[in-house]
Amino acid sequence: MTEHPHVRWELDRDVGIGSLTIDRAEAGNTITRGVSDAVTAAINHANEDDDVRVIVLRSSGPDLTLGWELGEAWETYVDAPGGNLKKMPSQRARLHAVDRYLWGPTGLYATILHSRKITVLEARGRCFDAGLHMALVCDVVVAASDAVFAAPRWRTLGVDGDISLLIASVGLKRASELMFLNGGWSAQRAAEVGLVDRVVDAATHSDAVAELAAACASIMRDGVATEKYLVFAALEKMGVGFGFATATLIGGLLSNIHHQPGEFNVLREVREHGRDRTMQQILARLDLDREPEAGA
Amino acid sequence: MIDVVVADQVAIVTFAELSRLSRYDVSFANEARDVLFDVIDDDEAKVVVLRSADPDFCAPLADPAGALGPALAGLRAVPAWAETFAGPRSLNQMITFAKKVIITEVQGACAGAGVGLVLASDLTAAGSDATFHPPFADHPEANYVLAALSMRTHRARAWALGHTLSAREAEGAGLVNTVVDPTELGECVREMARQAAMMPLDGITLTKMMRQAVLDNQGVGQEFDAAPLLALSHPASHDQTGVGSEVQ
Repeated sequence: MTEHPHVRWELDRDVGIGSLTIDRAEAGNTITRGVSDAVTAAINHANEDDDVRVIVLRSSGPDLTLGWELGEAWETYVDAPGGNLKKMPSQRARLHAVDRYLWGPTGLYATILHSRKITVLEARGRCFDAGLHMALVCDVVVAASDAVFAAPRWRTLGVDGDISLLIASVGLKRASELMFLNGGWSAQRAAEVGLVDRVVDAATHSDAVAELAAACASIMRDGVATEKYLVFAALEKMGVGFGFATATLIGGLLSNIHHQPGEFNVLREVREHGRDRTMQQILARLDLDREPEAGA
Repeated sequence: MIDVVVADQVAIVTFAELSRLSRYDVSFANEARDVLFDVIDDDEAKVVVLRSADPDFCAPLADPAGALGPALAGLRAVPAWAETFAGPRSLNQMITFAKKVIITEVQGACAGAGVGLVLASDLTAAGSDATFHPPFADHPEANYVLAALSMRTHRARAWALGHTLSAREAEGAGLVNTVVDPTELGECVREMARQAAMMPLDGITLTKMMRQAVLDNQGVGQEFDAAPLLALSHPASHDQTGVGSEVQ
């Protein structure tokens, strides 16, 4: 399996639990193309290893991820086929990039969603954009009490990710909260609406995940595989494949929208002011103190 | 009867007597459709708030079943009814598939056609005094698929069987996004609208297009298409249309 400096795969072959760690805490564990490729390669490798029963996805440091690496956004389009022929990357290059790394059949999210092993997400701290989608595509999500789920980039661009799984998981109205409002969901709120399966104290988070992974690893492998393929069939019936394909189209188109005067232009901000300042501006739009009240 | 104010990229549409929609008032339905069409088409407004000038968002009718019969006077009236109240140019479909963010501001009773607007909208804020009456028994144009997508199937089913939801129950079930004191409802909705208006205009358009595609794939459009058949099967329509009148 290809080594990557920011992705670690560690397998306890005796119990069949693999730990897949994104190790880029100094950058908020943002997902680069290299990280995405390494994660998908690791999962594909784990799928072929009969000793692997459970894959635990986690990150180092206080946050799961702040989302995709903004500093690479432009280059991702330029480096795609047909992306550097003119001043601006072509539409076909943008679509190719979104399909390749994000929503296509071999992209990050489809790879996790269609893994033949049980996937457990260890969610802590800020679980933004890609972190939200990881919660949706993993089988089980154990959140630390300090976890927050949000999609801040949607506020500045539009919804460039799949919403079929989001709607199926939390409901149409609640999905619209993340799509159109500036707030995020605490771990507790995320559990109430169905995004997260379990919330545990941050101090015992890793132990709780290990305990759950061990329980999952005790399930007979034939049973897991059978259930997984049943889930895959159900997901297709639910239209999740359609949702992913639509997300590719919309994601590609959103990268090329016309901005009205005064509207925040993410890609231009990154090019002109750099990644760090743009990230700060995006995160500043979040209003995490104004969550919807807990339901009855 | 319908007031529209556009400011800061938000259009506030205030209706008087929304219950006229529940009575299948064709004139009012057409007026509301035309107003909404212009508002949704106005690029000065990224967000559209639907509210009522009355104490109730949409007051329940004394005889909800009795409104459908006259609306379906004769079998040939069914297509006309469907076009006005359930078809692609109906208020419900226009709101469901609008390319702007739609927020409903609900106080007091929300019944009949008013529930249809809540189901069709993206976000709903309710005063703590709000109640949500299940519409499906007497309003064939009410979209059950939207209810099931919002509330999860078993809760939508329980609601459909006749249980009126309090505001808190509606929030817990996923029909409503937030519940506030009635005195704070207007400010709450304005803040929601302000936040939603931060998204780029083209971003809102493309996001709503994706939402429409996903909802269509889930059968929302088909549910609207089935409304005429549901209307024909309603006992109130039998005497008027002659369809089903042999079944007692």
